[in-house]
Amino acid sequence: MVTASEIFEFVADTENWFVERRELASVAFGNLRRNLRLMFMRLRETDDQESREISEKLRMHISEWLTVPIRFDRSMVDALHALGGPAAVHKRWGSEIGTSYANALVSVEEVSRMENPVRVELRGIINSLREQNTSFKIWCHRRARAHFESIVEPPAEVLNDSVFLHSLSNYKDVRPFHTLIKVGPLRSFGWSSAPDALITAPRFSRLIQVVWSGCSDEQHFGYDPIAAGIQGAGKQSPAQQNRISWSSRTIHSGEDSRLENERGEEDEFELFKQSTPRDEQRYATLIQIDDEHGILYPKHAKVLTFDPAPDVPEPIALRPLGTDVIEGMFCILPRLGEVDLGEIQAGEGQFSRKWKERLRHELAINADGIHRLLRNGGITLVHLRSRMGNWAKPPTTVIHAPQNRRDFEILINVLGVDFDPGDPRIHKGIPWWQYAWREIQRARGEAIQTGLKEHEIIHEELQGFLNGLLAEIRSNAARSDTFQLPIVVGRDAYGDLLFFKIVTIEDGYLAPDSELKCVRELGVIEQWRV
Amino acid sequence: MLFAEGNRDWENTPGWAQFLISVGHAWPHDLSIRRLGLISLPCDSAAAGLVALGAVVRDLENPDANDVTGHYEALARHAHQYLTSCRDCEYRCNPDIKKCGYIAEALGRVRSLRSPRRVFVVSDRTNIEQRHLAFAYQDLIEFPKPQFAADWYLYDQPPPVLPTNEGELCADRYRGFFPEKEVFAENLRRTYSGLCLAGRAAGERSTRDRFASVRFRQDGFDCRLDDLLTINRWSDAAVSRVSFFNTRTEKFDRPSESPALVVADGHVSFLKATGRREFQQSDILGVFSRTLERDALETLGNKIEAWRQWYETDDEVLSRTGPTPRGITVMILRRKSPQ
Repeated sequence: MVTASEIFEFVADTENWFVERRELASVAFGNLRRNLRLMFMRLRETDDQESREISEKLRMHISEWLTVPIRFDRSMVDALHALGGPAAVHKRWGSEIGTSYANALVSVEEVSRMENPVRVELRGIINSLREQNTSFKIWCHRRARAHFESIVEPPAEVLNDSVFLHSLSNYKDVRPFHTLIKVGPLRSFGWSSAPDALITAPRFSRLIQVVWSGCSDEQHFGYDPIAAGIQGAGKQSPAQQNRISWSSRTIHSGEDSRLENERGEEDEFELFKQSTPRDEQRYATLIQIDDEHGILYPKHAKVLTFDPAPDVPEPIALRPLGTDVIEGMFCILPRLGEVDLGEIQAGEGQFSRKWKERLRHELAINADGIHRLLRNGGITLVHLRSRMGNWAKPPTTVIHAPQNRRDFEILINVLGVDFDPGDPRIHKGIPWWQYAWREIQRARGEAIQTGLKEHEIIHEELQGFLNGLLAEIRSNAARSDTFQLPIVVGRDAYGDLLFFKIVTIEDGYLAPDSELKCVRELGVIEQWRV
Repeated sequence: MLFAEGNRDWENTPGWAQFLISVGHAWPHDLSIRRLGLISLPCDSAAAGLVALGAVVRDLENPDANDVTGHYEALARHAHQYLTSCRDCEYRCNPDIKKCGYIAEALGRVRSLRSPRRVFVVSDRTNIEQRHLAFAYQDLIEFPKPQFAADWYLYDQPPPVLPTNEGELCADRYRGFFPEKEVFAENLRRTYSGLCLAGRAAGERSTRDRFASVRFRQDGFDCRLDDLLTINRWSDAAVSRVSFFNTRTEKFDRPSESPALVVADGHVSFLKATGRREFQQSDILGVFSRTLERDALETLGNKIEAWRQWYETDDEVLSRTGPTPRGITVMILRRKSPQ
């Protein structure tokens, strides 16, 4: 454990704190950004849902490309092509968007053929630091780590675990080191977010920040309430003159960098911030439950949680996010509804096993074929190939599957999965895929609304019920990070409760109500990151 | 005085630790002006414990810092609460539901220094209006007089004063922090409730463990910070000079009405303390690490902004502590005088 003495020794011994901002420019990438920005703004102004969803996707792509050292490759081209052909876009949204789209396609082709200047810059920085034997770490989102790792050449050069810092709790435990590397602007939440403590409580003396031109740091990043309060009072007492203060310099580089700067690249994050959120969206906090899944909750929501610590007075409680919910606790997702024990509980996962088996078979014999059929069927997902691989994974408590019902229906229709001959459900008039979809929804904790009576979830009553099962809950929690318990009172089953161990908690999401309080893949949740 | 933290070697007390102890020591005893303070550090630490330690030493120097004066009234209040509310209460103990106005149960059990193994119970022969106490043990009833109130103490609390030197605090443990100051010897045998530590949100265990990582060595004797604070059940001390508010359970280790100073460990603890009615007249000094989420920082910032209406910056404490070490920021506010 790092001690306060060690930190204070470091602070006392450090003479200067220095930010080196390396601002990169690229004509081709700049053109791509400009055209996508325009599309984003115009699509945002429309009234229809499809346009707004596309603008969200564009925002997600732009945000990722600006803050993560991705490879510039065909995946960027595929991401844009998923919108459709230029003629179709032109017809659908008019000439302004159509022209921007066409220009963006040209730019992205050019960009996909070059190496990402951010990666080149990072490689140079890392190599230089290693040659100088200077201790360094990289601040990045957990999901961006693979991109950093791919910058260096294994096996000779590897970025091991200890190089990365992903969260405030990582940061709190780290011993002082020399240089921190960060890609993207300094923001307090959402894409490229980092804690204010990087500036107000540094464990390093040099920050190398690699950013695309036009991406400014958040205005008040490095917020210290005491320093702000003293400034507000207009007093600078002697006590404050000994504060940690930073000096900085900016190095511009890249293709035609001077020209780019004169043209004045716009700050996309500022633009996104000013775009009015949709009425039905709200700020949310992500609770990550495993490497691939998470649950979004409204910011400051009270979450039903179980604290496995032995001396806690109230192990089961509704706790406010942001203060009392911490990593290591379990979040509890009730799923209530009229449960047809004969169909669901007796054969939990029976539907998903069947379609997954079929999907695995198809992928094994003709992955390209199934990919083409799904595209032709109407699935427009980016990275469809990798998604198919994900969907083929065996079912557990959480079932990997398409996020929306329409895509799932297409998948099942393409796979041709149906009832076995003689299955009595054939005559009920409900297609097979709907049973399978209901099973997926239940696994995600979504309320079942297919003609069943909707039950209101009364958390206080659930709390009382759970307190009676404490011994069983503790026993399950000691053995597994995910488990479920049925809600059975007398001879009546009311549903069940899903327990998920909290891996991390992350602010900075803006999502529609329909995406909250249910399990989603992190790849899908990304689109709601601010 | 040597200092060690965690597994580190012994060293002279570092400047940052000495500063924090000095802040606690220099905190004014002026009950006519309310002060609020915040100290931020670049990391988690036992800082709140060090500030509290400084305040403990300050209080040991102050002849008035003891619970002896007013102890009889405290016993009378306890007896009154027990007889009129807690003895026959159907909720054990849920003041929010009962809406009795109390914050903790009065058990009605007391001990005497003269016969510490006996547990007396507040008797019905207590006359609340006349403030005549009566304590019963089997067939025996005792009627304590005000001048001998210090012979009696609540069952699970330290006595207000020890009858002899046996069990008193060791002066040498405290003198080393401010050698030029004089500890008031009587205080080494006396309990005091004017200083309260509000523990961190993670709970009492977590708070104590953090403080236990800091040790001091003087004249070959080692002692831990959590021991030095003499919180009830944290040490073998027979008296307690610091009461403890458990921020997690929102319970006190012993009755602590309007302490003069509350030292809060962490931002959650500080924010809760500022909202407690028991602390509305108290000075509150919060200590937190700047390694917090933006939300938490902004909540603190908003609180400071809101206080500006009634409070102004106060430099008195910092003028007596010496320079603030780099990495520590301090803000102290005092209530504005009425115009």
